[in-house]
Amino acid sequence: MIFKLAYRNFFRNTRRSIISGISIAIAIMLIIFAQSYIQGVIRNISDNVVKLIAGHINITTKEYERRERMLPLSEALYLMPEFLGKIKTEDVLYVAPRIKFGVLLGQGEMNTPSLGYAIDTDIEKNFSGLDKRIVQGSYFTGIENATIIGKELAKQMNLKIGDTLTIITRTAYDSPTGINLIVQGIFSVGIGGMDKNIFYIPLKTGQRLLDLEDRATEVALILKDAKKSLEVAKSLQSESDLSVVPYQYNSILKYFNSATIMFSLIYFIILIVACSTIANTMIMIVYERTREIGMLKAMGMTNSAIIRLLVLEAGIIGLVGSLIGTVMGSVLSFWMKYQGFDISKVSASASADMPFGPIIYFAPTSVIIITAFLFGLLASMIVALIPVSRAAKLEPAKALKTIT
Amino acid sequence: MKKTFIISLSLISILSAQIAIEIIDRVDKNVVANTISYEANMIISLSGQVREKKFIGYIQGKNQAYMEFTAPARDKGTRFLKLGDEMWIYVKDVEKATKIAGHMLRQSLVDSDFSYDDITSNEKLKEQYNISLLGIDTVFNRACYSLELTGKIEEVTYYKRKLWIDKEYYYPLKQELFAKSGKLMKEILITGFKKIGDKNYPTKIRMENKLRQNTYTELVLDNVKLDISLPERVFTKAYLERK
Repeated sequence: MIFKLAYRNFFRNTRRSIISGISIAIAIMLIIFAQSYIQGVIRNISDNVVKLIAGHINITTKEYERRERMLPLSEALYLMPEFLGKIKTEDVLYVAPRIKFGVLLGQGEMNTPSLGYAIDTDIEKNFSGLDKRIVQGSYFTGIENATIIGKELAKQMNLKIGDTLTIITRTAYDSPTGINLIVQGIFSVGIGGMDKNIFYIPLKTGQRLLDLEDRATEVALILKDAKKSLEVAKSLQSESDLSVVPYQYNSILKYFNSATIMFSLIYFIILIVACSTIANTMIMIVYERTREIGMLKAMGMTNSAIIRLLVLEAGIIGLVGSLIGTVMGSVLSFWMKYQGFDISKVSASASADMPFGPIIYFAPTSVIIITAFLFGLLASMIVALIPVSRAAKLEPAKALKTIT
Repeated sequence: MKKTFIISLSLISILSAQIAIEIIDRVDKNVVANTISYEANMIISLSGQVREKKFIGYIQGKNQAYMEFTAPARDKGTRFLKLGDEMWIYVKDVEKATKIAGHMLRQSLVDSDFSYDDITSNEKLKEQYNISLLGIDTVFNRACYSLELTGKIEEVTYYKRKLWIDKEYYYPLKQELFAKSGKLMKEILITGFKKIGDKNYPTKIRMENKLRQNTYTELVLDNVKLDISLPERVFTKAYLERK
């Protein structure tokens, strides 16, 4: 009965009801759209972390992990057969040893600090996708002192295919060392930081250059099933004194995941602002219908029933708004899921030095959609409580005398 | 009475400053030369792990320096050339000189406690610092003048220095080097010197980088020759890149 009344009251001033509902719809649509975008960014980062940075599981020595910022080559792992046999469990698809090292790139009078990766070029080809991101020249073909470099780095140093790139660095024993490399390929992964700062060389070349025979600073594991990362990492960690980190705990990913908490605060604020229109509407309703409320109370309607009636009215406005917002937000997000959003076209600096890009595929999930809908509905009813509780305090005799 | 007191204080202050300058003058006469040639043995201790490196060096004035590593085998043939604020490195496998950015001169040389600047420095302290005499002190049972130096030019590597100058031989027995923030960066001890001509030249130096833990570097100089004629070609890129 109360629900029927509330439903009818929605149409007493349809225009006002719809306008209030629209503000909720816009807020919910924005929230779903934004959350889908952020989820898409997180997935993009995850993908890049796994393929290009750390694998599903990253193994280093504990001392290397502690001093990682200093790129301490002396703390490299020893790639003994027993060690490799131990980590290549039945869940592991690929074992990719890597050496990460800081260098000075020399080109005439110009020199630039940069980051080098010595990789097993055959193993990495299976999962990193680096070979598919070559935009000029080719991927490694077995030439010992070949290198592939990022597009922005090539541009900055004015390097073409076949040019010589000189690198100066230190060995694991802190002796100055260097090598002339031949630029075999130029890649573009669309991530500013990588295209600008990174180059790759074959693992054996790196091991010789850095005095790290049969060693690597880290080993990346690619699993058959990514979902097992945590479980496999835990099992490997329990059997060794090395640092075994699943990709979910990668510092870059953790940083962006924690940033999403800040975004939740923004969504909350957006919703509160949108709900303020409903609060205003309810204030007006209580004011306009003071005599009516007095009449209902005089006829025996309890305070709680009055409150339930008015809250339901707000709830119906919220329901309509949330429904429209959810549909619009979902449609837009799913469209962007298949279309993708190229952030480099918006601004070159948008992806500069960020571990994501260039194309973000939105990732709307049922959790995002349902949560947004429910929040819209609940928030509408909660904000209505304050003005309608005033209605509950009205004395019937006084209310009936009110002129509105 | 008050006037007399103020005048006396001023006179003492002027006298003290003059004494400080004279002390540093004598130190500069000992440790700065027109040209220097040497053979060096460097022992680097990092958390108990010890590495030894040998190199030869030539310095001319305050702007030209050349170094070449002679041992161990993996370092042999690596060369450095400093001209003014610029430095080049030559590594065998690269076969051409690569310029190192200016700010890197303050970074560690082969992970030792010495920076490139420290190893190649040959400048008079009097020209870079304002000097004040703190008093007399004892270091390693040696009577020393204790002085405080504060940088007077922008380019100075260590903004502040505290020196303990051996009263008998006028070389800095101990030095503490500070950044502008007041943070202690390095400590230098001179544990040996040689009489070369009229100079008491430091030949055993121990450096501790206070920004790192459990490290020290000892530099022992041998076959030191001062104020000799050095061929100009030594301080050229062509010499650096010679086969």
